[in-house]
Order: sequence, then C-alpha cells, then structure tokens
Amino acid sequence: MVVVLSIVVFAAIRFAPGDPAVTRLGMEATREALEMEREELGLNKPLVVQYVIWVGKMLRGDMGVSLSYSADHPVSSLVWEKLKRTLPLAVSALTLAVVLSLPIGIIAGLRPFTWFDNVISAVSLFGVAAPSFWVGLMLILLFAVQLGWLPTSGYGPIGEGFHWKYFILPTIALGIQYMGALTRYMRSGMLDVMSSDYIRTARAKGLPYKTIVGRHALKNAMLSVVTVIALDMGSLLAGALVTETVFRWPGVGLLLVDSIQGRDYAIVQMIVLITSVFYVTVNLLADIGYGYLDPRIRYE
Amino acid sequence: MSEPTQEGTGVLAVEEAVVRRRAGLLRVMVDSFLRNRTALFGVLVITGFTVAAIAAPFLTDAGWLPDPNFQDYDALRLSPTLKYPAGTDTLGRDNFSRIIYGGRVSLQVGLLATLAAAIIGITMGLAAGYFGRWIDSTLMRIVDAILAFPGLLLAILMVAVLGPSLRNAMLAIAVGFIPSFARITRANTLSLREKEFVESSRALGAGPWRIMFRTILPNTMSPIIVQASLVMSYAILIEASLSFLGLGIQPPTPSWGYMLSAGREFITIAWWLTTFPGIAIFLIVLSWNFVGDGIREALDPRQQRR
Repeated sequence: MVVVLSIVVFAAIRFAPGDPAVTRLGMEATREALEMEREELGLNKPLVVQYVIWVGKMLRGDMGVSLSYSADHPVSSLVWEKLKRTLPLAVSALTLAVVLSLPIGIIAGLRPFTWFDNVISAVSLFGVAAPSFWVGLMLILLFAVQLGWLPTSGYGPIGEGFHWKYFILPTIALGIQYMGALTRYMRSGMLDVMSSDYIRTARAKGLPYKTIVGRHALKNAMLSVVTVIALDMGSLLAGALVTETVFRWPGVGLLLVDSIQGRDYAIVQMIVLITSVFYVTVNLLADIGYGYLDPRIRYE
Repeated sequence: MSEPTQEGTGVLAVEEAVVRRRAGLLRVMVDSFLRNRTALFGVLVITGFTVAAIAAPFLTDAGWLPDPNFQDYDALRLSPTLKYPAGTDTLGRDNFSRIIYGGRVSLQVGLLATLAAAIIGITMGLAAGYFGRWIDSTLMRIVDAILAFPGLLLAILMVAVLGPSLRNAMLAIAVGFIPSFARITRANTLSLREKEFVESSRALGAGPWRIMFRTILPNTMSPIIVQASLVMSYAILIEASLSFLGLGIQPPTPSWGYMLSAGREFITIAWWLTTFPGIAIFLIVLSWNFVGDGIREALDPRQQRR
C-alpha cells in the first residue's frame, strides 16, 4: 500500500506542468543556466531512475531540498518545524470533538426524540453541513471582530512567539468540523444497540440501568464510532490545511498551499506522503481496534 | 406527522395498508418522501437555487439582476441595503448577484462530478462483482489506491498537478468519489449474481453486459440514488474548499468558495462578504443531506418515520 502511495505521489508531482528550474531561477535565466540547474536537481535522468533515487533518499530520511527555500534548508526539517505547530492544533481539536460529542451523543441516543435529542440533532446537522472554513470565518467575526476577545489570526503577536489566545479559535473551528458527524454516529449507535434483543434480555434480568448502558451497550455502540474517529484522525491533517489557511496558522497546511502555488515538488511530495501514510496507518489501527471491541471479528 | 398508523387503531392500519398496496409502491414512496418535511425543504431549496442559477443570465439581460462582474466604484463595500440585499464587495460588485451566479459553479461541479463518479464507479462495481477473479481484484486495488488518500487531499493533489480550473476541479472531485459508488455496486452485484432472475436471464441467452446493465443494475439502484445525493453534498463542499484555497474556478467568475476567501481580507470591516456566500453553501449542502435521508427513508420501509 505504501509503495503504491509513493508511486502515485511521485508520478503526480513529477508530471505536474511547470518547470521547477524556471521557478527557481526566474523567467530571465539563460538556457545554459537552466540546463545546469536541471542537471543539479536530477531532472534530466529517466523517470524510473529519479523515482529510485527519490525512494532511496526518503528511506534514509533525506527528503530532498526545497526548490524555493535555501539549499541548506532540508525539506525534512522544514516540514518537521511546521508539523510541530499543526500537531498540537490537530490533537486538541480532535480531543475537543471526542470529549464533547461522545457524551452528548450517548445521552441523545438514550433519550431519543426528546427536546434534548432534537436540539442536539439540529446542532450536529449544522456541524455536518457547514463548511469548516466558513465556521472559522464566522468564529472570527463573532469573537475577534465583534467581541474583540481573541485575535483574528496568526500564531502569536507579531515578532513574538506563540501565544495561547491565538490557539483557541483554530482549535474550535477544526473541532466543530468533526463534532457533528461524531455526535450523530454515537447517537445512532446507541439508539440501535438499546433497541436490540440482548439489551432487552439484560433489562429482563433486572440489571441496573447503569450496568446495562456502561457494560453492555456502550462497547457495541462504540463500534462505528471508532471507525469514524479513526477516519477523522487520518483526515485531520488534511482538514487542518483549510483551517490553517483561514487563520493564517503557520503550519503544514499553509506550507502545502504555498508550495503548490510555488511548484515546490519536494515539499508537496513529502506533505502528501506523510499525510497519506498516516491516514492508512490509522485506518489499519482502527481495524485492529475492531477486534478488541467485537471479538467476533478476527483477522488472519 | 398524522399517519393513521400512529393513532393506533388496528383497523385503520390495515385499511391504510390496503390503500397503500393499491396505490402502488412508487406512490407510497413519493408520499412518504413528500410527507417528510425536511426532505421537502431540501427539494425546495435545491429547486430554488437551480432555477435561480439557470435563469440568472436571462434575469440580467432583462435588467432585474445586476451583472455580477459590473464594478461600481461609487459603491465599494456597501453594507446590505434594499438595493444591494447582500451588500457590495471591494470592487463595488453586487454581492447578491454574485451569490446567485456562484450557484451556477457549485451546482454544475456537484452535478457533473457526481454523475461522472457514478457512471465510472457503477461500471467498475458491476464488472468487479459480476466477473470476479482478476478483474475484481484489479478494480478493487484501484479503489483502494484512491481510498488511501483523504478525500480533500486527493482533490488538492490532483488540482495542483493538473492546474487550477473548473474542469480540473470537477475531475479531481469525481475521482475521489468513484470508490463509494464502486463498492456499493459491487457488494450488491455479488449478492444478486446468483439470484434466480439473473440465472433465468442468462438462460435466455443474455450476454454479460445486458445482464449487468439491464438485469442487475435496476435492482441496485436505490442505494446508489441515496449515495448520489449524499455525494452531491460532499462534492459541493469540496468544490467550495478548493476555490477557497484558490484551486477551483479562477476569478473573476464568481464562486462561493472564492468569494469567502476574498471576503476574508475584509472581515474586520465587511461582515456580509463572508457571511452570505457561506450561508448559501450551508443551505445547499444541508438540503442535499435532507434529500438523501428522505430518499433513504422512502425506499426503506424499516426506516419509516414515526
């Protein structure tokens, strides 16, 4: 799977229109200078050779040199720098989403069609249908422009480093994106399980409500939710991309958007590859997680 | 919902069942769909946007709707008034008109991308499910490869490679949704392949293509239709994200995503530029979700609304 991924990513970026040598030297560069630049970047070799060289370098942790940043700035450290800003955002957004939506979804699922459930259903539908970048913009309008509580965008005050006030809105904007779907899955999972035969049996046995919900229902209701969380985790980095653009958060997402515009192959390759490998790995872990939650599922 | 069944008297329920039988299955489905208030809301919103999008150029010609690209430098960033229901943007263009015209892009991309993904995905699913063996494993490898990328990232990668334009955005979105159609169709084909009616069709001498498209496909249509309306909502969302990132249709053609990203620059002084295009996206995405759920409930008798 990873091999397929790497070929797709390599081919996709390599066949992109636009000449990186031109990007690097500018439109006025002489033909000789361009040729030398292509030679130096290895763009003259056959594609297969380029691919093999690329994979070899990747495996040694050498992700190549960015085309638009200076030569002594390897892509791997560049991307790593940005990743250190994106990861906290992604992790806290997902944590926020899970911590809030699971209990809400469970309660809504246990009391279906009550006013609480109806309100939650409406709100979570909003979370599903509203585009995340628009939610981000609306948060800025409300909390930064109207109320003036929080800064509109950025990583911290200009010239200074990180400041926690800048962290809040991006986290909420990214978290909301996942809350809607998560709440809905948790609710319907709970609803399905609670009307199943074995729960009726447990009730008939006279087990206390707490035990039924906590020990019998919850584990099964979580089954679909685990997949959704895993899928969300995988797409978090991709989701952070849009959110970072909204809030000018200087993480991987903003870097990717800039690199696409600058035709910076090495950076785009690495970010897409990291994100997809992460995505595939998380999905695999989710499949394994299934086995724990539902012992009937076995993998050979 | 005032269905007789809910009133509880058994006679009424039986009577209604008889009526339903007589009315025919399609009629029951349409009834159930129309009685579903959210689905009806969805249909109305979608119809509204579609009619507006189609009629927009004619309305402009008739002088009822301003040209979305007309720049009035005496009317820069005006807040909403009667003359400009959604205000004007930083070049003095009428924001309301731009939203109506932006709907053309959204609906066009959504419709064509969904259609393309459905046609390719269904064909792949039918072939994989019907022929099995190496055709199945090859096609499903392709599906797995597509699924290895998070949806938005795949679209971004493809547009980055092909260059930003409306056609490429559509293509990128379509590819991302092939798997969902292929998987559903394949699963249904697998279970239908051994059914008697397929056997009999084969015994009558029908070739594999005829069996796949004329015998099996009509019987797998309902989950596909539900899927299509949900894909429609995702496609519109992704198109908006792409144009927000500057990877969709290029300005000056108005599109909702691009309008939001342009309005972002002026968020501190012109709230209407970021509010209204977003509401448009939200409404249309919500509506397709409602319609999808409505069709699902109408087709699946187990999920009839209470």
